[in-house]
Amino acid sequence: MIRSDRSSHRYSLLLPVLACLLLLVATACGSSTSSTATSDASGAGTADTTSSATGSEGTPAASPSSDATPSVLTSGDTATPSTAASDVTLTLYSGQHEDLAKALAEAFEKATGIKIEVRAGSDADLANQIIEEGDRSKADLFMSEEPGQAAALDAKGLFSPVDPSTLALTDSRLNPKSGNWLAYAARSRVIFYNPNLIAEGDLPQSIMDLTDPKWKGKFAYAPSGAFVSTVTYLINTIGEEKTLDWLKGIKANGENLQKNGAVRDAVEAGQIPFGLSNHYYWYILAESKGGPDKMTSKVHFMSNDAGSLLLASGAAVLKSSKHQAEAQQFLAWLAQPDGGQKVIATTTPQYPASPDVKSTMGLKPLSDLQPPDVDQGTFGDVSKAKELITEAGII
Amino acid sequence: MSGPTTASSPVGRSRRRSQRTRPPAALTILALVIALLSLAPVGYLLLRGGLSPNLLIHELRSPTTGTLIIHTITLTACVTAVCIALGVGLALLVVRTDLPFRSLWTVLFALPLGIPAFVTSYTWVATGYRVMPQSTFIYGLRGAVIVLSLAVYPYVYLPVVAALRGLDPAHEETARALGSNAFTAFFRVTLPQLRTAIAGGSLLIALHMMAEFGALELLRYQTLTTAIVQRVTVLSAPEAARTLSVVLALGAFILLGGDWLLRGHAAPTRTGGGAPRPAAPWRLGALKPFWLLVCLLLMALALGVPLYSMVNGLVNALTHSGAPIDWAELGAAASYTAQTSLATALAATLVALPVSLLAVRFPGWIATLSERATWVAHSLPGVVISLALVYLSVRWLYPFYQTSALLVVGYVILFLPIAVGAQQGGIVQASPHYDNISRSLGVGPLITFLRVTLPLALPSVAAGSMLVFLNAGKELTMTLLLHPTGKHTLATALWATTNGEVLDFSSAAPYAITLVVITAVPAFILIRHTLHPTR
Amino acid sequence: MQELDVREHLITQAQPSIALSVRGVTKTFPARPAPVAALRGVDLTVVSGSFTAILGASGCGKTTLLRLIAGFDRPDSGEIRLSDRVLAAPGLHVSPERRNIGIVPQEGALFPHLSVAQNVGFGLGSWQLRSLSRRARRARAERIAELLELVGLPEYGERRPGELSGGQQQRVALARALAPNPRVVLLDEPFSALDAGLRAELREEVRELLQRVGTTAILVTHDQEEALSLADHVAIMRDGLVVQADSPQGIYIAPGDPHIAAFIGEVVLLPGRFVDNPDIPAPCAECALGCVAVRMAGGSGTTSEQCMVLLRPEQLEIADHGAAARVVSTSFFGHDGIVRLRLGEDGSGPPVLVRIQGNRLPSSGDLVAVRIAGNRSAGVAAPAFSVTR
Repeated sequence: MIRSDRSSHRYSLLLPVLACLLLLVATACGSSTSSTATSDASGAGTADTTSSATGSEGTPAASPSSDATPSVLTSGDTATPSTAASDVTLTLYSGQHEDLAKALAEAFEKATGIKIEVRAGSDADLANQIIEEGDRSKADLFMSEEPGQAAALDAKGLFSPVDPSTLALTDSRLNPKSGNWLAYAARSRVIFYNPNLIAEGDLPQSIMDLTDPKWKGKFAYAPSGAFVSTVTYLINTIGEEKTLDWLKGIKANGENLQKNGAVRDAVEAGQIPFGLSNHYYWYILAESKGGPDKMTSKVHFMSNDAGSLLLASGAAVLKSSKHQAEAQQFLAWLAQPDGGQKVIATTTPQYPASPDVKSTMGLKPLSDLQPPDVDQGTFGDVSKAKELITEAGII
Repeated sequence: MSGPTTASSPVGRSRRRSQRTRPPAALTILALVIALLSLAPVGYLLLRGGLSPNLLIHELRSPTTGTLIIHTITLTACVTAVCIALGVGLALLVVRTDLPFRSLWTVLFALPLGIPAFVTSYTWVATGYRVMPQSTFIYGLRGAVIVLSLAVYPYVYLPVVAALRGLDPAHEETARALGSNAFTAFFRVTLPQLRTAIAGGSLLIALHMMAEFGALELLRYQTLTTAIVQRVTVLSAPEAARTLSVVLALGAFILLGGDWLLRGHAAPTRTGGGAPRPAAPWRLGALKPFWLLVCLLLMALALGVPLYSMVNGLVNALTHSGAPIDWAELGAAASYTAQTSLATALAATLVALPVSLLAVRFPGWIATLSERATWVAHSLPGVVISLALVYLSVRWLYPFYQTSALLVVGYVILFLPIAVGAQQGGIVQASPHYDNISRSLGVGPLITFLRVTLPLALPSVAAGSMLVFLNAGKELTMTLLLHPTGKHTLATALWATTNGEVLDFSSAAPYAITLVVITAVPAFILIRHTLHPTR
Repeated sequence: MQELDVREHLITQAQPSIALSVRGVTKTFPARPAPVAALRGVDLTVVSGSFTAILGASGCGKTTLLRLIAGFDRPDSGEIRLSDRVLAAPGLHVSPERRNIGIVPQEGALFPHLSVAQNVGFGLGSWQLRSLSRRARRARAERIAELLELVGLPEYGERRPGELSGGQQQRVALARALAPNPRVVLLDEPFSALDAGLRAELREEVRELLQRVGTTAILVTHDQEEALSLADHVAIMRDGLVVQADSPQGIYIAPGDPHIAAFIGEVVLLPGRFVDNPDIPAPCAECALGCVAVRMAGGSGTTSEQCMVLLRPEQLEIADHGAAARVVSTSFFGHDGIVRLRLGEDGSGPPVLVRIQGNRLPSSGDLVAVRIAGNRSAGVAAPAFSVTR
């Protein structure tokens, strides 16, 4: 009587149904993004076609409206003379600490009205991403923490040359010979030591001495980008063979703590007498503790040694960027003493690259440092360094 | 009145034979497509170039790789073993003994599920510096095993609790009557019946350990995965990373094959929806205070340490000057995390269904292959999967690149096995017998699936979604590479605050706590589901 | 056979005909070490409106046959027809949902996620567009109520399957199977999980109910008592074949071979040989208990040829005179009892069973006399089997 004789469906129907459901989820997912984009645009009111240039996916900010609306309003308030500039949103792939990158982006927008989307990550992640993206990269700008990745991308010919007038604004020791990226900040390789465990005078004169068995178990290191740069520097100065010996000695005598922060914390806590690291890690901790005098450990700057390398943070314009002028404008602003350099001096214990700007973080002045002389562009070729580092078994 | 299970056990004689039937072609094709999707990252490893047999052999011969392999195996074996001991032990304690406040402990023991392993490690390191600054106790293999075990043992604990509750105490009683004492009876009769539950959880944990990065970096222990990630992030040597990843994938294949052989290729067995009567509890007697103390200590370590650090950090953030909490950013990250996790849970559940259905209903080599294939990606570092997806999407799906959709696809690939594993149990419950009856009543296969199989399997399917939601919410490494520019999940926002490598938890705490709150919801539902099955 | 008047208004078919026929059906399952031939050429005919039992020990293939009839599996060869419609044949398979054959599984197998009413209404097309109309929904509700009434559970519609007793679950399962008005209902050992008293009660109910509804029913069971008491036609299966199909009485009185005989009741097997006896009509066999008229089941019946004589315990009695036998043991069932004996004064002869009425059972070790009950010249129908060795 009430029989369902017509239900002659087969499993094959499962396919389209599941596909539809999947599509539904995908659309829901996509629409959540694009709806944010729309709310952004509508929230901005006058900033009409914010998303049209870079495509709707790249535009939306993390915070739907509260973030976007006020910042656009501020740009209106300051009544920047820039006319077409506010239509452009630059995408910045930044390996820098995210707070610094964001502070720079905000200050730049305030100054010029050009909005910057920051994609934060590690230098290498973002550099790999740029390489995998090829000429379809979403990035307009790249900003590294260490010279290595900037120089490597430069070597691949992915950067546009930096305006020479921009380069002239920063310390000449830091800019690469190629002139394709700008050194906007710097960090120095240092030794952190714990005076309770070792006196400053007893520290090694050079990091080359660390292969001596008497240092076994006495020091820590981390295989960071700066460590790789140190190895590159050594290969270029003393040759592969000696460098490999040095690496093997380091591996045998030192404690690999994986991260620079861990090196600093272990020395500060007294787990180990001293460690190789970058200067600013110590100042970050000092600041969070309430000042350098609250620290147990101390910073030791070496002189004219691989252990006192000065490493530049690089910023560059991607060749594939469709906003070359605006991107160059960012670099120029970044090098300005009262532009990006001021932001760096006040928000991070890294060295501003401009000789005219002093950090407010109580650093030893840049001019007092005695780094070895080196072209920052040479840090880009890490092929030998990574071979030796893996061969020594450090990574 | 007969127990609630009587209606669900008519499989009987039809089981053995009905499953020999050939699966519908559409289902097979669908499952194979899904398997291919799961294997896409492995395909990338092999096809991206820069990889040659010589390079692989060179890599395998290098002493460094040898050390890394040994480290990886040691860590995986130790954590898995500790988790099995901890998970089974705690499950026994709350199901089979007269421990006071058993129901409270039952829930508490499962809660570490909601805390990401990297947060646990982070808080342990921070606590270590505060409590015993000069000690290196929590570092290296020892520390990694302790901290990671405390973070992931619920993956064994929960299924074992469910299985233990479903066991018929008659078996153990019979063994006792045959002269075994309580312990031999447990080992000879009960433990073998928990095998499936234990195996499922341990496989998940073992693969997770092979792919763990963040926690190990903090705890200063090098494995293949830390080396792979460092090769990408520090050495910028993706080819070298891919070679090592192939080694890791080989390990995963061996583990999956071994697991398959050990478990037998039978589909998971029915655990039943709860025994008609509970077994007589083992009396702890005079040892009661001791065991209570053990439980307290364990929870202090697994829950107390992370929660204390978070709450302490939050109080600091709220009271002290520092950087004020960015509520807008927090809200946006929370909502984005919830959205992507929800989408992932839904998508993974849908995608997993054909695979689970095929594996349970139509066992055979295609079913086995597609089911196993979904697991492989789980053993690869998030970095590798992300790079694969970046590579593939930039070339062939550019409009999807850096969209939430691609992120969700990545999550689905990563967490598919979790959904598949959970669903299989439910589909086993939804015996094909019910399908047959439905068909004999004039209802076609598709409607039968929707009206009978799916509703019967629903509790487990839902549990699978919850687990996926939970894991997607916690994911970090892959999210860092795949998230749309400008969007943060709670995990990446948390990571951004710790990027300065300061162990002060103040700025991270709000994100960590929100993350725990968001993941606690599904975790809690999941625990309730396990403890009070609807059938 | 039975009164047909009650079901006249329900049955649509005009002439009493074949409801289901199975011809030469085979089915082999792949297995290790060798494939298992579950069905090896089964023939079965089920008359419309009949209640047919398929009886066999476990592993005989009866469940496989049931699954093939229902359409859950496909036969390797042979043909299955529902009256004039081919359901399964080489290259043809009608899917279960289009066969119009209902099934009541073992232990009911009610859908645990649905209420009793939802279970009963499951096959009434609730998921079809045309069933969304108010009329269709009302018709559906009425049909569900009607069926619940029929199985005696009118108040149970909102209950969950887990809240029902085993017997109630079976009744709901029956109502569910009958709801779409199937041409044939398959009952798969539906009473095996129930306790004895309930089983007997429910059997009776189900038989009556099926008679009233007039549906053709096929019962699969391993319980000979169930098959004989319920069905009006019994097919015995063994090793993947239907070895005998007859009325219950026919099977009991004239089993096809000793195994069938032993399977459907207790037997006494005694060696003997064919003799000519003027008092007893041929064929006649002589055994330890004397001469007895027999039915032939194999062998030629030539005089003095050796044979096995099969008797039922109720054909024997303990009397004042007869063959001497020692009591080995006794079983008391209330309404009657069984005495196990061995022939011969020293109890070394072949074993013999005697069913006796009343409660006067001899004790173990007693020496008694056994004889064939009744007037043997009237011809006790005991089949004989020629000895093959």
